Amino acid sequence: MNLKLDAISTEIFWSRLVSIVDEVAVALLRTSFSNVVRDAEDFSVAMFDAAGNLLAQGTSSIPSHLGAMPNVVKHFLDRFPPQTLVPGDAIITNDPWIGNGHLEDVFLATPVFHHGKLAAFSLNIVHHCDIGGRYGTSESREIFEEGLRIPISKLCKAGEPNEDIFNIIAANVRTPDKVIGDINAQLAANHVGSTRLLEFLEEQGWENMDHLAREIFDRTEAAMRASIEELPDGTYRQEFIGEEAGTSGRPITIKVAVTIKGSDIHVDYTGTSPQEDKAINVALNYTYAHTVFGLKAAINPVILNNEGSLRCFRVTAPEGCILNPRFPAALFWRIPIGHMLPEMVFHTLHPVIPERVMAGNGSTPLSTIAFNGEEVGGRRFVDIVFFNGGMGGRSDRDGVSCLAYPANISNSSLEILENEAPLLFEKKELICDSGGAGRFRGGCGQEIVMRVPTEGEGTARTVAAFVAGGRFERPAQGLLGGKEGSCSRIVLNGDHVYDTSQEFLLKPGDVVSMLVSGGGGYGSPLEREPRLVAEDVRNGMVSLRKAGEDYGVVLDESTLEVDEEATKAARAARDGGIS
Amino acid sequence: MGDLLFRLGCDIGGTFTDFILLNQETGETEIHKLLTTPDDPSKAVLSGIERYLESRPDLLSEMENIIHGTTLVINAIIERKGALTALITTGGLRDILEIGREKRYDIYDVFISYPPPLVPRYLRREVGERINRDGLVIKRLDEQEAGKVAAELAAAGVESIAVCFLHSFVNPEHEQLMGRVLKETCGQIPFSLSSEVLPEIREYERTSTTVANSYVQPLTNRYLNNLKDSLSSMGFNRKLFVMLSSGGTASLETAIKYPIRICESGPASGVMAARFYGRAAGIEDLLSFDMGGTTAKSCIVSGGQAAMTQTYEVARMHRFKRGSGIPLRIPVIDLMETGAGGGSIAHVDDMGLLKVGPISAGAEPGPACYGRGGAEPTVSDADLCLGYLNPDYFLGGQMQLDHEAGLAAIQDRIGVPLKVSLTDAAWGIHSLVNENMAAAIRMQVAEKGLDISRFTLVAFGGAGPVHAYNLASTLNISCILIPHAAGVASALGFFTVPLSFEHSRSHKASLSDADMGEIERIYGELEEEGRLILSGAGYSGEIEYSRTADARYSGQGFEITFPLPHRDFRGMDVEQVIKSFNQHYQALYGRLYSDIPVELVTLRSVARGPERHLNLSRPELKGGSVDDALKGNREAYSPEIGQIMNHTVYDRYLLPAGTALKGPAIIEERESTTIIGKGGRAVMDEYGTLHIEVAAGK
Repeated sequence: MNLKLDAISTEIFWSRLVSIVDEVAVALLRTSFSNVVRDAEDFSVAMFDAAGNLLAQGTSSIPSHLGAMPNVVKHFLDRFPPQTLVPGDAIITNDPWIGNGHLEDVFLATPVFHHGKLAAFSLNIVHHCDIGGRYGTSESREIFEEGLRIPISKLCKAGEPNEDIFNIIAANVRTPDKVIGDINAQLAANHVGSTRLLEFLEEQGWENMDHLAREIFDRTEAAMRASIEELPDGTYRQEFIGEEAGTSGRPITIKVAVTIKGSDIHVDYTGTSPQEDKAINVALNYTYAHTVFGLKAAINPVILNNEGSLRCFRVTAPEGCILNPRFPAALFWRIPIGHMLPEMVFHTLHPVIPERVMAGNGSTPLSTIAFNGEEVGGRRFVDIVFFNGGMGGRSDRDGVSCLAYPANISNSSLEILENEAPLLFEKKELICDSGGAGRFRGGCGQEIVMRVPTEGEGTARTVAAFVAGGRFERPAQGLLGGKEGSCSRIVLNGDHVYDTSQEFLLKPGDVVSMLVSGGGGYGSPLEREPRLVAEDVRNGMVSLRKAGEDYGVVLDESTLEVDEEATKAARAARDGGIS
Repeated sequence: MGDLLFRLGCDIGGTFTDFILLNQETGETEIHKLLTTPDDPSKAVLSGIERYLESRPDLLSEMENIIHGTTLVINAIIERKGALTALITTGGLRDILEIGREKRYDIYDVFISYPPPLVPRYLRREVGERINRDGLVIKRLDEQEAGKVAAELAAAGVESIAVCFLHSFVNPEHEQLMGRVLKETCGQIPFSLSSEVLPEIREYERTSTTVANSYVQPLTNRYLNNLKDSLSSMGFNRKLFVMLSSGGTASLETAIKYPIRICESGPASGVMAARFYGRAAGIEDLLSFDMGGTTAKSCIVSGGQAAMTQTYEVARMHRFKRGSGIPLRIPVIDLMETGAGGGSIAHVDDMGLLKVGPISAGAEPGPACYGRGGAEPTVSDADLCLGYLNPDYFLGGQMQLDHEAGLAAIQDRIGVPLKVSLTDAAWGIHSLVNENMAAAIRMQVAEKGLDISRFTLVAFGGAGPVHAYNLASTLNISCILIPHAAGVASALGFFTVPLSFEHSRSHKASLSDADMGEIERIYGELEEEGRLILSGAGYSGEIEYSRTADARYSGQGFEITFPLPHRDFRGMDVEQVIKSFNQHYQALYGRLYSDIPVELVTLRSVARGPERHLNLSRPELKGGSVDDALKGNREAYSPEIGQIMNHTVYDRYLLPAGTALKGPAIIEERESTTIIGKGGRAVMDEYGTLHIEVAAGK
């Protein structure tokens, strides 16, 4: 057995391990039942060593899932030490404090045994379309209202499914076929992971992955440290006011201090508002995930994400604050605050690395409509769909319109959605003037219009919908003179306008619109090439009026050609820019 | 058919246009290459034919047909040289094309970007109309508005129009009506209806595919008609066929209507050639492996059938990142492409690890050993260092390789920073590029639930035979075939494929209570469409129809394609169909859900003419012993013992048929070099194909 690793063999073995994990992702995607997994791809897969250290994650993972990774398997091992595990076991939990900050994310780990000894864990995380409790609401005051909590348990023992757990889950959710179907897909995926890993160990004549893990962690850590060392030491601070007030009525303040010292970064949230009796609290794992995600994207986006790169980062938040709430805080709608964290990191580090961060993101936080109801004839349906606003402008290019950030969740096909639920989607369109003006414009947001069909058009009876997002009052900010993006809003039947997430009980004929915010601009709009402004006007992404007001570009109203002279004069009259 | 002596295949690639002339009586082939003429690709085609006419003035009167493959379509999309195209959609949905899937293909990249849509927003127009999921019209198409939109687009000077309405795959009525309005209002402007191009569920993919079809239609039309006219003026008036991405051929008229179907015609031909060589050797399960200068392309052929896929992407922002391109749903040979060719560059990354590709040194400056100023170490440089390539016999000696430059690049850029010996660095590059290809192949195999070790590797392309032995060993594959003239073998694929075309239509129905009469009716229509396409291509013989369906367990979002017997659905035992789906599903995923209903999503029908039998002439093989082919000895790296050792070098053109030679050995031919590891054996068969047995274990 050859355990010696060098730059070449490490890379070869490593690519092999990553390809195994990607194969697990393919298996999960293709055997799942819910729209959330198969279209939105809201799942992650990973491989851990026998001690519970993260070895490799799937190439297309969800950033938030990464936060639980460093510790989740270690929690499993505390509950089930190695001597209590046997081949064929499968361990499950959805405990938000151990897992991913809300009950919907179900973790499933399969221990992999080689020559009778624990060698690794194959783990995957799936956002389930339902976990019981009050569906899709931020109104819960305690976690007990939010659904079924599964403590760390053996879902399978020595290959035998624990039918009691399956039955308990099935009895607590609205669409047991989909939920149990997805759990089975999780089991199948881990089976693929275990099999492939064993083949690999056998082929190499290794007992486990420990030496490969050590080598990879050390190299990743060294590379990340080298990148951090290039940044000037110091403490950088930011404050963010959340727009969704808690039950206390006080605005929620997030305070962040990022300290760079040598090759270490410490992010501390001392001074942040206390937890609320409302389902907007963010468990520490989720706080950690999004903070670390932002750091990595800004500092070294290319390097691997594993135990090694994570060693350079420390994230703290005082216990009892909204970013580290105590049990039994309600957690379902953690997105409005949790999703803001990468952007806070970007904007805090902005003075240090202005060229590597983006302006405020209109797709942060994620917007969604979660709906459930009944069709004429009694069939029940439940689904959740996601929409994204515009990305912020970057230092050398515009923001992309309608792109998920920081979550990485696809939309769903409208035709597929209409087949699953008796709804009509009447619009999915870019919003003019929604992208913040800038030398590099923010991406456009989008408008979604959903109508409950009347009799004769479809078969809906009742539809309960939770329409949620953010940026209702506080738009995505521009950077370096770039302007803010548009705000989000929700409109019911054309005239009831809401500036917060809403729950509706809809009847046939009702129409709900969601307008998702645009991204912030980067750099002064007076520096944008007039030709690009003219193109935006022609394409209806910027109005003629805004071309003049924001960009100082004068266009011929009929041909939309740039009037160079008038533009020069208009821009000169602005006296050097917008503040 | 069949009485005429010759057939001509011609493949227009990015750099070269390859010609292969087949004498059907003797089985002899005559190959040549010309530089592609990008401004008008038909120019090179005509000069190529003229060159044949020099030695055979009567060739065109003896030519049965010409089969043609082209990168025209894919290049037009990549280089944005298609028509000024408009899109008409259901009201409220014109931005589906631009919004896409809203997902990032790289989670950490702050600078992520996507290819701009092929139709700019100002040319994306909407009309009031709505059909629901059951095909019921809930809002009539406003014909007046439709006429107005059509007139405005014509006035705006658009050259092509795509139409995509929601749920049009269930009920195409409104799209057809829109088509009539366009015909009346816009006269000659060509248009594509999504219900014809891709009558399948999922509006984004359907729109994207229909738009791409419209985008390339005018230029394909122009080019193919020009070619036809020019050939006709030279005196050739028989059939011109075009190779499809699916590995079949179609008439000119079909290619003009569905130009998007010919995107990958060249690579499809390579797979068909591999399949042909496999067949000739009695092998039905093989892995086609084509490794050239910038990429390696592999495809699984199982039971004699090349793997197909319906999901495909062009014009990626990052060539090897899924999700970074324009999605097309067309039947296409399932090619796995990796950034691993002879020119792929090796470097040391941030973590101090060796990486190879995907960036390639291309043809200019090319690998360091080309001596054209390239300083970056490439796979070819590594192969040269390892003793696999002969610097004095590259391209048959046409090009002298600079051994020193190759060594220096590897030593300076890899060996020194990684503190490893020159040989270890070179072997690292060689084996890492193989590992990258193996990883891609494993994923492809995993998606199909197959066991790759049962397969035979058929290697071609310039670098394929150099890497085949170690790649096979990495994948636990024990047999390799290296066809005769492996460097140019792929063009042969043109002669082996039948006329064929796939039609599909989405039809959602639970199998257990589906209306079997309705399903039979749809298959009947699809088959009639297929028959029309084949008869339009001048074929009047027996047509083979095969039926498949995309189905899933109710509630799942991914379908699998499974074969159906070609029998009247009305008399079909549903339980039998469900059972066949279950078996297929289980083979893929190792489990089945017998209590969940099976749901049909899309019905597919392929109409196919007969396979052409191709009897290649047997190259003049020498008698005698392998010793007659001995060229000498060369020091080369043996991974089996982990060091440089003496390899016997053979001249492929002098090898006798039927006699085995033993590794470690190197077999040289003009366009490539075959490596046989220690413990391996190779035999040349009567067709000049090398059969290699890989030694077991590493």
